[in-house]
Amino acid sequence: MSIPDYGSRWNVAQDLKAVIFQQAKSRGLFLYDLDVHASASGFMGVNMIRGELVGDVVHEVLDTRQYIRAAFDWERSADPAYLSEIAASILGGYEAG
Amino acid sequence: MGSVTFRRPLVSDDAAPAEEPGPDWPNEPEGYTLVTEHPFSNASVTNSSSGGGATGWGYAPRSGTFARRENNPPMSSPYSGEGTYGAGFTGGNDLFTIYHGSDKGNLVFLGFVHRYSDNWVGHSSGVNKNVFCWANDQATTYLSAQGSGSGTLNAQLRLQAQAQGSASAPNNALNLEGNTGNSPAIQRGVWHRWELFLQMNTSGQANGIARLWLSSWNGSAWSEPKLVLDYDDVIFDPSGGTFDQVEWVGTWGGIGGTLSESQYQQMDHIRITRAAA
Repeated sequence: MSIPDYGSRWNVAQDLKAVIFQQAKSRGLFLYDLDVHASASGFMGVNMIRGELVGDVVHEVLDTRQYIRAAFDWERSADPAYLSEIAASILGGYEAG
Repeated sequence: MGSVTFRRPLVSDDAAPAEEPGPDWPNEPEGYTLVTEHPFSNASVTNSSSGGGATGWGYAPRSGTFARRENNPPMSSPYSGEGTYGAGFTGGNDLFTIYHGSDKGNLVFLGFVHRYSDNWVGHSSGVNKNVFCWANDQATTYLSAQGSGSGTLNAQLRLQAQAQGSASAPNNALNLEGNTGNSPAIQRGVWHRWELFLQMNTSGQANGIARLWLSSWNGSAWSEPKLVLDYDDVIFDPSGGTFDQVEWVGTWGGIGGTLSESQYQQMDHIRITRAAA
């Protein structure tokens, strides 16, 4: 399977983002921002920053920002189990720093 | 890199002269060639399956609703594109993507006319994204009207991916806040003209340039453009490279939170030009 067009890639990236967010929540990882984009060359670019709540406003925790480039198998992009596996791998990489 | 000639001097204070009648994009560098424009004005396109009716643009739906509004925006009347966040919209989600993905070179001008609805609720993180500008096949920069709840909104250019930012950025090297002492608030319900100039850094050098001018529309004329951001020590990517994709996604946040009532972003026009090859 070739890498699909940007609109299709983008939607898969957003699906992956939702899975990462849910897994982060279950791990007790409070995020300020999570940005996932799918590149033309096929990898997923993931930007993550931890957050902390001050009053009603969420602040970013400086020095917790990471950018992770994750290889992605587009043949399996419609498989929820694969997205879950990739999300766990990304979170593991983030927590390992 | 070659020098860039701007049509107007780089003024950043209120003593600037009144704008002469001139181009719609007064801060576009001289001699730049058109990459693309999206006027959101083709009334025959009622959905955005072809990117809202502009050649070379793509569209993909997500959590918001796209519609064309006949509201006589300032740049390309009578229509604008509108992205609506419905009640119950959750933070971290995007409206949709409307994108243009060709190589823009290492010097790029991105202009757009945009407004946030008059009831806009800023995300609890303060992040209210509108447009991304990619570099080297990565979502390297985005613009945001930073502010939470009904608080003041201020423009920022925020960097991510492999960017290392600016050593002179006030608080966080990756969040390029207003640094000219002249950062007008983004007013809800008012059209603003955003003019962004980016020059990619050379490999290994902190010499990338980011400048942002803002003007507001009073119903009949633009205000004097204000230079809000002026950085010349940015590392967008340690390897240098080129800017490529531009997209309007309208991410609300940040993560978490829910809207209790609907709100929107509207886009009148997007223009991208670059230095001649």
